[in-house]
Amino acid sequence: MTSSKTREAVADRRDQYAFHDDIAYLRETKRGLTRDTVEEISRIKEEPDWMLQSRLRAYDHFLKRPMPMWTDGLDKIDFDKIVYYRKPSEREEKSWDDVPEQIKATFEKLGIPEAERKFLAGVGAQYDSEVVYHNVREELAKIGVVFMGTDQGLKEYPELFRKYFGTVVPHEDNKFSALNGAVWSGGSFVYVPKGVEVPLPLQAYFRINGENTGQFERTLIVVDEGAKVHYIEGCLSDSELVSLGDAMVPVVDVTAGMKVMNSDGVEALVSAARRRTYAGDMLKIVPVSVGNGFEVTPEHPVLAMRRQRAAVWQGTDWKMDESALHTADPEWIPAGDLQPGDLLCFPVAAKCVDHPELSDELLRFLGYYLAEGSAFENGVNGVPTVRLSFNIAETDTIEDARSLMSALSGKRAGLYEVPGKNEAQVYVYSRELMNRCLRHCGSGSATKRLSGELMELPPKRQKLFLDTYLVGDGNRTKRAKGDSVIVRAATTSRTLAFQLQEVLARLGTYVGINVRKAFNEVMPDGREISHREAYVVHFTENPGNRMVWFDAGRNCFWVPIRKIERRPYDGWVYNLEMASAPNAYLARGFAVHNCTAPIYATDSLHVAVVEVIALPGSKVRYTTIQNWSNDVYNLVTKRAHAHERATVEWIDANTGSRKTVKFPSIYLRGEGSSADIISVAVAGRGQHQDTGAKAIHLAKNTTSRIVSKSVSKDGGRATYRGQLKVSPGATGVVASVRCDALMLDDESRSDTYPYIDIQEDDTTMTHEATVGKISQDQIFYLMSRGLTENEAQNLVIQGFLEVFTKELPMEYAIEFNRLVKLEMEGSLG
Amino acid sequence: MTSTSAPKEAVPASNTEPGKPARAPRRSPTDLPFRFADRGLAEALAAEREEPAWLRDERVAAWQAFEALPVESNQLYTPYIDLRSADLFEARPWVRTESAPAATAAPELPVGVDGLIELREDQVATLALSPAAVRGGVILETFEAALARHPDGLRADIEGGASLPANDKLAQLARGFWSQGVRLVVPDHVHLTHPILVRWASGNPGRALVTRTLVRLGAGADISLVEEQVPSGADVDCAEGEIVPQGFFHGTTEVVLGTDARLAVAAIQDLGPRQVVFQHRTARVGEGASLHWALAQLGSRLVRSRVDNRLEGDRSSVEQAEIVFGDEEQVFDLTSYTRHLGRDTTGNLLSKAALLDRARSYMKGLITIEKSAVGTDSFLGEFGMNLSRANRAVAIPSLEIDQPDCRRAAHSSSVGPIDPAQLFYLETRGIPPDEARKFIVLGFLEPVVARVPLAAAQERLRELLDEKWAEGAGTSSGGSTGAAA
Repeated sequence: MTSSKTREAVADRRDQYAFHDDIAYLRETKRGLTRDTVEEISRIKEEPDWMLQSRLRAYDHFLKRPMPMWTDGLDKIDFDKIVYYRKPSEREEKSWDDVPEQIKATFEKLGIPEAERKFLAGVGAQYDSEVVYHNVREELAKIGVVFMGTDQGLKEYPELFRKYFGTVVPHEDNKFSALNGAVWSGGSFVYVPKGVEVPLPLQAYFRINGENTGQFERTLIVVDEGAKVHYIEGCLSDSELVSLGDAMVPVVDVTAGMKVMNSDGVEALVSAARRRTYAGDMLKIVPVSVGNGFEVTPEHPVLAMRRQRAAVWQGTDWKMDESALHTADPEWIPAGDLQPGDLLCFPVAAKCVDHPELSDELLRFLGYYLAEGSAFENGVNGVPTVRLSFNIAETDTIEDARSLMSALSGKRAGLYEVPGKNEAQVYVYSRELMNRCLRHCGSGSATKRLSGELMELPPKRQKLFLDTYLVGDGNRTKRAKGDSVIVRAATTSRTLAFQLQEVLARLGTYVGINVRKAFNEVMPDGREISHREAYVVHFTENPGNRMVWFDAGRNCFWVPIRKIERRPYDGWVYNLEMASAPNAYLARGFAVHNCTAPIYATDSLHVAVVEVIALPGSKVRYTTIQNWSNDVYNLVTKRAHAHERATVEWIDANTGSRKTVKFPSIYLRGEGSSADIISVAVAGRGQHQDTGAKAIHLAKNTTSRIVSKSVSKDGGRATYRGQLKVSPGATGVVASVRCDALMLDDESRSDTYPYIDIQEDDTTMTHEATVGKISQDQIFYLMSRGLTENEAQNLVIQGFLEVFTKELPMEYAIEFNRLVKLEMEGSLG
Repeated sequence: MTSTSAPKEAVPASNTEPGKPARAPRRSPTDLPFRFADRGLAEALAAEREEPAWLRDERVAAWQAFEALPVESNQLYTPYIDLRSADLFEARPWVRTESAPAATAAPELPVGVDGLIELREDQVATLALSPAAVRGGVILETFEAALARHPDGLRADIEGGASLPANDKLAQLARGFWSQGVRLVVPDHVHLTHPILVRWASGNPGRALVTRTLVRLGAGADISLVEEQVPSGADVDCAEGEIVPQGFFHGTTEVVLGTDARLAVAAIQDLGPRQVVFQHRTARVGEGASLHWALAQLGSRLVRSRVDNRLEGDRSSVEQAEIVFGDEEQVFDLTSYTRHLGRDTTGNLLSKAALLDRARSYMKGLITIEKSAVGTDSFLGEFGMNLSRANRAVAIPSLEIDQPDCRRAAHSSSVGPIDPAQLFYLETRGIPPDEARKFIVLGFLEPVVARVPLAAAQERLRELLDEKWAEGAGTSSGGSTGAAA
């Protein structure tokens, strides 16, 4: 599908993506939309003339078409401030390994690598404007399924593409379909040949990166006669990780009211999460600990100390003057003025609370568990089990772990030597111990983490689990010269890596984090082991040549900058305002100050068009989980044509964005076709979800079902707008529309505007709508069963939305529930 | 597939009959079908009728608002409006209309009513009250009589157009260009056993009659009102090749209910097939007061009707049932707005349309629950029954809710043919299919019929429905478009 020449080009660029997020934009257009922009996009993409003409026709119509007046707020979009096209990488990537780390990291939040292994059929990811990754499993390609970027589809399947492109959503349909028609790029092109049933869902992820480009993807799905496919689309944004003290979260996920760690290492309340657009250089500050690199805008103040003030030049090199380091005053230096060698402040978490109920034995045991353990209910008979695996040679360690296990569980721990392997397992059946392990350390090697209690223990006690952890996961290498010993520990849990860094910092050790890429290893016996991406935590004991200095007076480390990279940037930047002084927080562990007044510029725009053609007898399901950040205008036209006996299903969820205007539509053109639309919207503060569905019956004996569920809260507004139309000639139609709305408070608003237009006499149509608030009886009942008010509310909302979640694959259902929970956070009191 | 935004309508057949002079350029569905409402007419009305200066200013202000407004100011409904079947470009409005002194007890009052005003085009045909009504101090009079008797009372009622929606072009038309008005005032705590009957007879070809009706009930008053719009004469037949011009009737019913007042209104509109009707019904419902609307729409070529209920007082309630029985090329454009403002208010709104032939019905309803309206119970139902292949039923039941603390906020709608199961059931009881169909259709429309408080009017409504069924039903699938009998 891809020529070998371009594949090599991709391979050659791979090193550039090694855990960097500085995507080099190869081409981009100027801000604003003119005829030249449209022509330039077409030229960059080397499109055939008919596509250029099609774009220009759409552009002309866009200019002519007035802004729709039936929904409000769209007049705030400034079309001149948007970059309409950007090309991030030379070529669509073909394998997961080729995908830039930063993107992977974002996807990892959604469990995609897991999904990849377990059930992923193919993935297309759109980074800004182009699809950068598509992976079609060989068997899919073998049965003739085409799944690729839309641009590639135009090149490789020109006739098929031209036959269907724009036939479902013509440019003249509405102002935004015209805009998309003029500047579209990226999206997916799917063709499923006759009679082929795609066994697994096809998935694509779209995001407007931290880079705010208007994103105008175009998706075209053609499902031939008798074929079946399920397409899943996810939309999200990402950004830097911020320390919450016991965990790191992306800054976009931080909302007012959350607590993050401030520059004094103290938890502090966020009073506002700010966001603005920014065009200019973006700096990546990379300290000696590469994994802690972070990105900021040049004017963003960072707590630092000039190298000149703390070090002296000794002819060949800078030599740190420790007394100067402890006496010189650090400054808030704009990131743009920083130089390599300057020292960054890495505060040590100051919160210190002992939890006597966590015995020293337990802490030591948890260290082993973190490294080697698993805790689970035995699959056969549900017996609660805690198990540690060791190399059979580590007899001392095994004995220590076994005695700890016995003491803690009150039972004699068993020892099992796995035949044929050098592995010894220590195990015990104890529900109490299992629960404590899960409670304090989590489970699964990639998702283990330390509980809040462990993170705030006094450093001396933290050392207990740290030591046993390093026995398990760590290795020690003595340097050839001097007494220094390098200690390394690798974990696949990113959270755990950053947590260990914080814990060790409190113990006076500055830890570097490096990232080891995922790789496959062929064992001598021929087995292939695939290693996941790992975070290598490393530090040096008794270093001969110190690189990082502890400052006990300020309770922080001073970490030199290794390098500063600059890249052009045009997009969103984020900032947090703290409720208390100091107005500063930690980005990847380092203190950065809240900037001066945020500038609110234009908001981002996402204008997509999705066309689905379901040919006779086919079945298509299209699932969307959307979580745009809250300044995106999301204006999407989604429409499907269902031919004879075809079934089309839209499963559509909208949680983010400032304003979403989206009405997935199905035109039932063929006799006996059917339509099923489930639309879910959650509108929070400042948001307006103007969503719904349309079913247009044009043929006999067609059926449609529309179910809409909306939740509005904190002054958000949820609007259901839908159309059900039965045209003359469409006899025997059966249709139903149901919309339910839940309002969580008095500030919010909910509207329902269904349009029902029936022009045939034997139509059977029903419509019902209700609006209400959460039943206090239900909340009361759940609270009487021991749930907190927030938990009870979440449960009720999840039940309300279940009609949607039960249609999702499990991983997505979990993800969606998490998104809803995030939206709901703090909605009570 | 091309653009789908606006529904495409066929140009009405009556406009394209052969041998007729070519019609003016194609009209947009939202173009006004008349031109008579201009500043000149507003001033002429005031001058000819020797009205006081405030009323002249009122008419001019209304004209200005009329000029400024679009035909449909609600963006929700702009795709669903079609005035093209009306042609009133030559219609002449009434300027001077007959007046009569306020009603007194009169012997000619029919049995079973406590008051009657009958207007035939520009004439006051009957105006009378029962002795009981007179004793209770009920006032029933024309606007002109009110101006002569007690000008400040009428001025307080209508100046500023407060009782008509300010955002509606056609309501402003009534405010500025009325030539006949009826005012009914019921003092506090007056109960009348029998209804007051207001009958408008209209249908003069080429004439436009613009009217208003004010109804004011004092605290604790309790009456019922029957409104009839009937043809003023037999439908005019025309020679071959000759067009009989359409007539125009525009009427309002502007209700204000005091504390704990109760009013039941039944209205039967059965104007001729060449009539165009615009109606506005508004109500401000005070604390504890209740209002019932039972509205039947049967006649006319084109009906555009709007009801505005404002539940201002705590515990106020409105119950509204509106039925349409349409055939041939009739178009019914019905809008209902209900705004909940007081606490614990109740709204129960029901629209039903049974459609034969090529008839069309747009049922638009909007319930708005304001922040102040805690404890609202509101339901909106819109139901269509399709009795022919070519008819069209549009239901747009909407909700706008700012206060989640409500007992109920729901709407429901359905459109479909006669339920075969019901038909089958009746047939198993030995009822012939045609008869069974009729039962089901009339049963569907019964909610309004049963609520007509005047026996004679109820009987008449049943007869009208029967007649209409007899004319259209059996032949419905053919979509007969012949002239009305």
